[in-house]
Amino acid sequence: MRDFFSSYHPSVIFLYFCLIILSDVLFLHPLAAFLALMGGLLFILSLRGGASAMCAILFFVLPSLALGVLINMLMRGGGATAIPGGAPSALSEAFLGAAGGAAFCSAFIWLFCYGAVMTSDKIFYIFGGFLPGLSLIFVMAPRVVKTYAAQLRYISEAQTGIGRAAGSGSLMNRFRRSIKIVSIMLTWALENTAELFDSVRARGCGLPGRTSYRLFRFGLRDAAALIILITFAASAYASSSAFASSSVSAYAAGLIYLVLYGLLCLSPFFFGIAETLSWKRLDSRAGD
Amino acid sequence: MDVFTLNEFTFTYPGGKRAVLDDVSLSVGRGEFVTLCGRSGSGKTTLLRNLKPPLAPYGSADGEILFYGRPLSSVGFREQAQRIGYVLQDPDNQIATDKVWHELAFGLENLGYSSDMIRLRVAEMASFFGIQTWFRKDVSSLSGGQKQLLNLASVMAVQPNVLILDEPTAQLDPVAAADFLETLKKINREIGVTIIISEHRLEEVFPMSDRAIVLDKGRVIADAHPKRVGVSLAQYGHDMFVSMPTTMQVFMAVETDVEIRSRRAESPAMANPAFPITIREGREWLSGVFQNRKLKKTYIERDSDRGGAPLADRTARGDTPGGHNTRVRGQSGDVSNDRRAHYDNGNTAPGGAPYDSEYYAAAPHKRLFESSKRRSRTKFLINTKSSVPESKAVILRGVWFKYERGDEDVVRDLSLEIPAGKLMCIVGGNGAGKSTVLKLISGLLIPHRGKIIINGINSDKLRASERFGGIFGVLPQNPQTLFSEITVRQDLAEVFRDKKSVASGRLPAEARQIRIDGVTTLLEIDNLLDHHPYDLSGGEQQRVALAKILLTDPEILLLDEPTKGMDNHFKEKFSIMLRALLDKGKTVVIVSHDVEFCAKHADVCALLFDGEIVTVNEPGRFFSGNSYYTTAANRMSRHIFENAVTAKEVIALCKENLTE
Repeated sequence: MRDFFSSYHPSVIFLYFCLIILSDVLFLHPLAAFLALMGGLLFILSLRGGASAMCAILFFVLPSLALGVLINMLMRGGGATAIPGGAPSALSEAFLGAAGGAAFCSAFIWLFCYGAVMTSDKIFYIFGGFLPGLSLIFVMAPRVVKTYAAQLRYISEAQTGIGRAAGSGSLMNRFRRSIKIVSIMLTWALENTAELFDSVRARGCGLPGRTSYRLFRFGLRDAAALIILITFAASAYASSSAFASSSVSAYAAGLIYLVLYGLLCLSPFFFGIAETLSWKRLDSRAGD
Repeated sequence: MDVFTLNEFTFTYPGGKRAVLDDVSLSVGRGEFVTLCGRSGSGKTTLLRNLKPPLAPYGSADGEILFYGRPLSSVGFREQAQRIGYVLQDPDNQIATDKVWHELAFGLENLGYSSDMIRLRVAEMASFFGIQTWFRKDVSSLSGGQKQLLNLASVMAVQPNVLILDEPTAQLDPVAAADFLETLKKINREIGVTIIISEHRLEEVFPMSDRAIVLDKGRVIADAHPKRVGVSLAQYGHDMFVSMPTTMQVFMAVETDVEIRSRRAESPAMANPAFPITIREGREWLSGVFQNRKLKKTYIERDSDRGGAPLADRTARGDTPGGHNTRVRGQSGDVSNDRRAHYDNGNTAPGGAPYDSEYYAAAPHKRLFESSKRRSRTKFLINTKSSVPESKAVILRGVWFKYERGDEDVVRDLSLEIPAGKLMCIVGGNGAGKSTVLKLISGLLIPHRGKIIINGINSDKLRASERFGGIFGVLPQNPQTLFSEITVRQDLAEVFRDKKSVASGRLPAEARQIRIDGVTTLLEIDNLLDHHPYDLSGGEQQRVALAKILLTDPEILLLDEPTKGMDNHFKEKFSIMLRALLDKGKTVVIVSHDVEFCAKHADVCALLFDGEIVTVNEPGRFFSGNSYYTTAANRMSRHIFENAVTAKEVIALCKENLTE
């Protein structure tokens, strides 16, 4: 199982995450939280493999579900169905608590997926278009940050080499040594960044009419995905508002909403399955 | 029309007493490949930067610079960005973005090209420069050589008319440097871009240049074809001659030797040899010189050979296949008949391959390993036959290291003995683990298996304050990581301020001053004391950093690529300074890819490959035992002489054989 969703155009991916997070916030439905959680876990599975998904379930999802149940049962009492042999609490309370826990950790899981899929170049691609004036900063910032981080490491190593490890000695000494490292870093940064900016200017940076090159192309596949995702989200929204106004049978509307929302949450997973199937078909055809 | 014309151009930095460029007049024709050489501080960078308006330094300029016949100052900002490409020395200071593809597009974006145009140009550049395989990578994951190639490609993407490069290979290892220069040659020959390059290492760039310009104290002292420049520098006895390619140095020394000339006159056939410049030409010339001549001596004797058995060792290397050539066979001296014949065969084969290319092409690695494996079995550790066992400053036994638990080992089962009071050079390609080994020795990194013994004490038992307060002095690759004050004087005094760290911090004030004076005199930085460390040249910065380290009075100096960015002239000086330290009983360990420097000055050389020490020996044997990883002098002379590894040694052997 591999992740195929991250190969879509950044705008599709970005829009998708917006939709998921928006609908998570807009429609609070206890079952929807579980769907979102399931979708997020499947996404992790395709991104990072089974071990990571298992880890997430064991160390993050189950504890937060348990915590949700516990808190909800302690804070609120009363309900229709008492848990047999247990405290005078109710199954519905336990369920709602678990749903709260699910909503909580699904938000984190989706944010994690967002971070893994929306790499810096995709983010800059999207925002560079909106803010052309700032796009150069977006372009150069990640590089500068990485260079500085590396340089900081070299400096602290060099200082250790003349007997001034920042992590040893008395508290006062440590403090002084850290200050020293920072001051060496600042001098270095001033000198070298000046040269960097000179050379960037020499390459025509600052000329009016800068364009930004797009490595990503918006293809047919992206358009199709976009339409599907928007349809899911829009009809989920429509059914949820119908559900709220109870003009239609609430039960049916709720069901439709859940199905559509489930589809939305699971679509990266479904896209992956579709892609895998088409590969299988290709393979078998190549064998003919 | 010429690309650049300089008419009596003079340039002085603000507050400078003398002109950095003094009355420079020269022109660079279309499609020319021009090499600018000169010692550090001769004005090369100032000259090149003046050719690129946004990089031109502040100061007062006199005279004129014309770009295609019109004043450079009248060339607009957009036009210069488009037409004049510039590559800096430090690849890291030029890369603007964090993705390879984006860097390639950067210049084109600035100039406002459409996305489709950029896509085409980027594709072209990536294909021409062989960047496709790392096209989508992060810039930070590239090696220095790849970064510099990326710089070149992204500058070339805007299709400039002229390319200016300021010591572009100074930060690269020799293999990456040679690759880079080959690419430059390709750009010049195939695309016709005019190239102006300044370089310290002239071995490769000289043969590909159409013209060489030598600057000395801001003046042009030579401006001609590289061969003619070599001749005139030799004739004037100019000290820049030590930077010329080895072949030229040997040729000029031998051909201008009075005694040899007088003997030569007897055989008119040899009176007018062609001037060699490449190693291949040098080999041919040497073959010609020693044609029909019985060699008296083909072996340089070194101290460590006394009592040893050099011949036995050499015959063990009889792995040469039977390339036979009657011309030299039988006329040669006393040793290794078929080996010489083997090399000579390659040399004189039709098509003129510089050496036996077939054999090398068939199994390039095999040969390297054949000799090294044998070596590692018979004499894995340093040859100590000649003398009483030396004391060891550092002993590494079966050391293994990796950065993370799940990673692959970077250092594998490494064993090495570093003799006290000697200069040991650890050479090896990029990524062989050289810097890691240095950090393991000093204790900046801890091995996960194996033992490191320092002066007889297990390294685990030493505290960090002991290690870095008297035992080790570590010179980092980038000296700027040590500078924190605004003058060199304050920077040196600063070493004593951190009382807890340095054993010498408890010295009384007078003793500190005495120590500072001693170090500044030794490293010749007395006259730099009031400068800002960042205003110094690379070699000067290196010296100030070394001075800071010497102030902690370490017994063992660990230097990471100390000759990076130094010119040949300064390297000689630097070696004298190192010798002075060795004479004081210090042990010096250098990791470097500067093969020439190590061959000249090391006491012991070790080759590190893939985290292992492959061979250890004194430089003469070390380099004459290698076929690829060896010096230019050895490559040009190995078909005639046994073990000459420096120009000096080749010259000495030539003279010995040519004068009776």
